[in-house]
Amino acid sequence: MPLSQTEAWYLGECLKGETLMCKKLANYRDQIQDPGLRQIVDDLLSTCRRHVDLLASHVR
Amino acid sequence: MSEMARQFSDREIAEDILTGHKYLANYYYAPAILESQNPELRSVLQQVHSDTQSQARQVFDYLNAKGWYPVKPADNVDLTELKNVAERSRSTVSAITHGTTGGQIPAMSMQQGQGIGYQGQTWQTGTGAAGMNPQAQAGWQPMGGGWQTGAQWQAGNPPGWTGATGWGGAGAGWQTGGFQGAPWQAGRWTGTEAGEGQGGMGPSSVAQWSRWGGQPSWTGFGGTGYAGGGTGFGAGGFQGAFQGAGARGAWQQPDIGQRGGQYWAGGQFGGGFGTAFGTGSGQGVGTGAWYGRPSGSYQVNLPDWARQDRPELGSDRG
Repeated sequence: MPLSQTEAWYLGECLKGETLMCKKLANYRDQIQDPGLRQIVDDLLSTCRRHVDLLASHVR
Repeated sequence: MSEMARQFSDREIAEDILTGHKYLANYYYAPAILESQNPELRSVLQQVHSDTQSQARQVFDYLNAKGWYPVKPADNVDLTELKNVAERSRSTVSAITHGTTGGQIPAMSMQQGQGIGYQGQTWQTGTGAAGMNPQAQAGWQPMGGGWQTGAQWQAGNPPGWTGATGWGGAGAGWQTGGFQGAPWQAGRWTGTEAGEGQGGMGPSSVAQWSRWGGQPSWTGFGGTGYAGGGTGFGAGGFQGAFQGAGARGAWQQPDIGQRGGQYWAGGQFGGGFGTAFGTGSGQGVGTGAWYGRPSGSYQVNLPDWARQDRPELGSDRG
């Protein structure tokens, strides 16, 4: 099923939002002092990358 | 890494991540899911949305554990109010659910006099039997969201009445505001604050009624009241929505005619308002009864507050 205009727009926005989040997490990771928080950010970063791949796979 | 970037503390970083995830979940994924037609895309978005919420929870817990994101428990006042809201909601929903196939509403009509009646879905003016036959009414449609629309109430409505504030469009009126109190003089509208201005029967609605000269039926009829001790709003109706009018006697239908019955909005709220209507047994008031500006000179036993702009109504203080 082809994407509607609305779906395409939202998909693009979600991709941009998720990508920005990935960049922020990667940036923050190097600044964090608490190992516990760093571990959380590592997890989030991993999930974030997966989301980008998942969303991007719907762009054909 | 720049000097500026180094300024962020762990707390600030965590807070920013949490904010970012909340934003993604609420403003990106939630609407995207709602707007997506493609089932595969919708499913993916739902999964990502769920992941994002879980991620936010991780950061939330981290901040909370550090004491940087304290959660304040609700106080007793909040909880009491919440219980009231829950009870009203339950009653309203119950009434709607059971009212669709509920009891019968006794047929009533104004015997004589001029008035404006509510028949079917529109107000009608006329002389004589301008009453209602609840059986034939289609005003209340619980499954359809309540009184049909405010606009319909406005059409042909009595002076001063606007549909937007009375019983409320979309069935919101009784959800957001009920009349509670013992005797009607002491009663007060206790609709939720949220109900004000939102189609409920909140305090602002009462103020408008008095200003317009119209008043709800429970303040009219020379103090005969409007169902004695009503504790419910009909067996299958809006239970609990209307409380008050107690000990004011039963409905006296003949008065309607003798007094030239004014506005009669015979709402059919659910199906169960018949039993006490006229018997004063306290099982509900049915509803919709609405009396507006009297055209004659009869005394209406209104409290002073309700007649401040209506000198022709006389005073209840002698």
